[in-house]
Amino acid sequence: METTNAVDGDGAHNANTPDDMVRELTRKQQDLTEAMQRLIRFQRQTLVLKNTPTIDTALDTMEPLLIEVMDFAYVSLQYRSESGVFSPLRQICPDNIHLDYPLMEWVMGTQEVSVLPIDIMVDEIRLRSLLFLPFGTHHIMLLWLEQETEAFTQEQEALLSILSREMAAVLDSHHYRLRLEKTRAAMSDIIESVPLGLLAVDHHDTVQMINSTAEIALDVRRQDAVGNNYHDALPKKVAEHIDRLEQSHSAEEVELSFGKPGRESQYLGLTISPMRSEDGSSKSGLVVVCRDLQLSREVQKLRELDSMKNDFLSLVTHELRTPLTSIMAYSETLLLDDSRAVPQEWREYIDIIHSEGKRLCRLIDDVLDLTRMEAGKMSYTYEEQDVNETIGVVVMSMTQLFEENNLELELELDENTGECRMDVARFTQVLTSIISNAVKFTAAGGVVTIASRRTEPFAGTQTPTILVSIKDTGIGLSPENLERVFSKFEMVESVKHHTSGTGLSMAISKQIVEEGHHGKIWLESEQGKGTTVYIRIPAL
Amino acid sequence: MSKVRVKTDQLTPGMKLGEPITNANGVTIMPSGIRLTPMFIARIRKWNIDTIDILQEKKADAAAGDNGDAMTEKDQQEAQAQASQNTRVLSDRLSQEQAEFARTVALEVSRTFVNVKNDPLMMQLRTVAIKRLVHHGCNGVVNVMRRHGENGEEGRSGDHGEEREPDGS
Amino acid sequence: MALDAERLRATIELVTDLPTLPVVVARITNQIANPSTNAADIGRLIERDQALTSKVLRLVNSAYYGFPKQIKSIQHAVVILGFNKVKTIVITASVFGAFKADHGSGIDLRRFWQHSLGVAIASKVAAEQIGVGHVAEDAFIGGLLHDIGKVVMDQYQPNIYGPIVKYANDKGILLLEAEKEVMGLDHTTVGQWVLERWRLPASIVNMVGDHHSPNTTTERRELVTAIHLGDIFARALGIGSGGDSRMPTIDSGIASAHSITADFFDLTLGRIIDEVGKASDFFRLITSG
Repeated sequence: METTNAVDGDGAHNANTPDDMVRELTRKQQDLTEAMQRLIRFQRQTLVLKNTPTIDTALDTMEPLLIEVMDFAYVSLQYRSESGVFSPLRQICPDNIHLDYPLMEWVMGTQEVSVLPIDIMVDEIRLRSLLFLPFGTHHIMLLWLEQETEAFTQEQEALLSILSREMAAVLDSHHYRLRLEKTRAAMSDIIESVPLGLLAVDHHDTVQMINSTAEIALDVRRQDAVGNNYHDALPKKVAEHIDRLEQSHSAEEVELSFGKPGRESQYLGLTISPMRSEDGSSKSGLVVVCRDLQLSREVQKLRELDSMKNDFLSLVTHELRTPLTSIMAYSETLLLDDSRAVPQEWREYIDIIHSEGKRLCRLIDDVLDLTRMEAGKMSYTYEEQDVNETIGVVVMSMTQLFEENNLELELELDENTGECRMDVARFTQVLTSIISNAVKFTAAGGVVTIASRRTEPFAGTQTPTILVSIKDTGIGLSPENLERVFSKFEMVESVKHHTSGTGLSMAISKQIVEEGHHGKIWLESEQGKGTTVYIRIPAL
Repeated sequence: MSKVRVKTDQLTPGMKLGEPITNANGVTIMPSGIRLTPMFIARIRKWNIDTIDILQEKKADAAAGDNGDAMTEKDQQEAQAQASQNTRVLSDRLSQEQAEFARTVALEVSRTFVNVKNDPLMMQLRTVAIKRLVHHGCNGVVNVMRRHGENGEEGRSGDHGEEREPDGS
Repeated sequence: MALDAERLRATIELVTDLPTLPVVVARITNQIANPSTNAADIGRLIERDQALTSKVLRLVNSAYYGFPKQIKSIQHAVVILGFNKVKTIVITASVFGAFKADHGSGIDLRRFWQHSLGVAIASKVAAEQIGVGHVAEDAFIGGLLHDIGKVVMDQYQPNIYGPIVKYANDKGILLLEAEKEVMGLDHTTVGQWVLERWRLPASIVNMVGDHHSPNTTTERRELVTAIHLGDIFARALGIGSGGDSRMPTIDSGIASAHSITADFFDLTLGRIIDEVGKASDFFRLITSG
């Protein structure tokens, strides 16, 4: 049995006479026309949404249109962030009402109006439908209705679709405008906080922008500069220099000093840079950068002093060497003399002279080395060398030292450690000095363990690294001493009163490892327990 | 890796120590695994050691003879080269499959586009179609379609006369 | 190739003896055009046909629509997915069943439907890409039915059409051209006849009639553009076979009007492949008939 609403495709129904049929058709025609008009009127009404300045006014304008289509009990407008999290923007609904997020996601995906049948009681109202209205990529409106889903008509769907599309356009454009504003504000913050003076000038020589650093450096106010020709706005000397740089197309920095009565002279470094249009074809203006040179002048002075110091040290040590050579030569000759001309007790004294002379030599060599290293003038000769092998050689040459000091040597050299680029002599020097220290600071019966293995690359690089560690069970270092270990001329009280060191060995080792081998060297120590020195260098 | 006992006067450079060398106090002077250089060998001989364990990486053919139990540096290098070649062959085979697939797709698509080869826009479409089909691999019905197309070819007789286009991508 | 008398007779036969679609399909599509129709009305109409109901329910729950819950009734499907989507599903489900696989001689029916479905999906995606996403469902239907005339001729006049198909492939020309040459009319005209016979709305009938010459119509030009592109993309991706192996070219007016570039192809083809992947239930429908 057909209901009165259903219309048959081919027009056959319960009409009796041709008149009835004509009346039926006319009525249908009128219905359709009216529906069409409603649709068109609705479409026109939604156009007003385009002129809303903010998201809030858009929503306010939309509400009456929505109410015309459907009567709802509760409403919730949700905002979806870039990361996909929903949060309510405005709503008139109970706090604990259930939100189905997967469904909301789905509707955001299809961007089409959808109604879900539900059956819940909220505050004595029976809700039978949940309407989802997507408003573009970031907003969705949920409406809880009493209307049953079965009664939802084609016309309602059509009207809501129109509304949804219009709101999508409006809200999306508002949303992106807000984003743009935020980005612009952030950029502006950056430009203001940069410690350089920045100025932008367009191709008509008009100042477009000036940041606060430039305002201070050039003693100009923003209001006076922006919008005016830079020849009028900026100090004469500055404008002249800009002109000169522009004409010569120079990218160099020009130094100028200028002052105003009552103000100290300013030293500024001025650079200009042409701005290109987006397609890179024409010049669209100039960027002027002015830098306060005061600081750099001071830095320059310091650098000069440092260089002078290094030269001085080189000179002095060379001068010191000459007398030393004599001392060593003659004391050695005396020591090697077999002829009994030298009395026994004198031998002891000469021995001391000789060994102290040796010590002085070592000190001078170390100072020279260190000076050269710090000046960057140290030259290294590299070869590809197996790390374990090098350790082996060093170890072998020190076995006697271990025996004398009654210490055990343990080796934990991983066979996969491999090779690296090293200056063998220098690296050996590092290992030797560290092991010597270990021996020095460990009492008899202790153990020195040397380990090596391959490990992961330094952050931001691709090549794996090799980690070598020298661990002793000695007296360890106190925290204060730990800090000073790499500083020059600091020597820590050693267990044995046999100080042949120069106090420079760790500083030199650090230079060799860090500057010479692009590695890292550091210590871990616990007082009373022992110290471990770590060296990490890039493998081959 | 197995160990083999070698007389110290038969040590050659490149051999790896199979055992640590310790001194009278038990302190390790030379760790196991260390590669022997002429200098090391000279030292070992000076210490009055008769025989020593050496690590062997390859199985020796004969117990005695010229090869002996010693492994030369050259042998080691050869072994390493062999190993890396094996891994390369494996990864080549994987991408070979992919290359095969890409070639098949390119051929089929090109066949479809035969009559529009002078239209630049259509040729762009052809390139993108090949790229996308290969990228999406064997998932989806699209490829199933292609496979079904192999049996029951109808109405394709017209193309057999024409030249097969080489794959363009 | 054929005699004039033969041609005339074939044409007359075609006009009078066309395949039928279940009545409910025409009823539904016309009902949906009525604004006061509600979900219950549509539900009742569809539920009269058991087979159709179960097919529709299976398709609404498929991965293609991706609804996260189970849809249990036709009424629910109408409100959840919308009137237009349900209309599409009804048409799709019915059309495949109207033809028998063993009747034709020139065209492989299964591969033909694969092509039609491929064009349907491709046209929908193309519609969205050129900015007329609000009529994407219509594009789907148009794409699905665009070549219906071919299968009608193949099944109902196999003696005439079989040779035409062979002729087209031998000469390497479009079926359209071969049809015009041999019969004086082409599958687009026949297609329109069939759709009118099926009492489908005028909008659909017109879409199908113009898909090979998109610049000649003024009404709903973008829809026809979408189908034109959809047909080409489906061929490029090798989805099924439309009976001939010649690739049409993209109309240059369309290419410039919609800024069609390699990037457009890349985006669109990618999406089409994804959707075809999700539409396996639709494809399975073809084989189960």
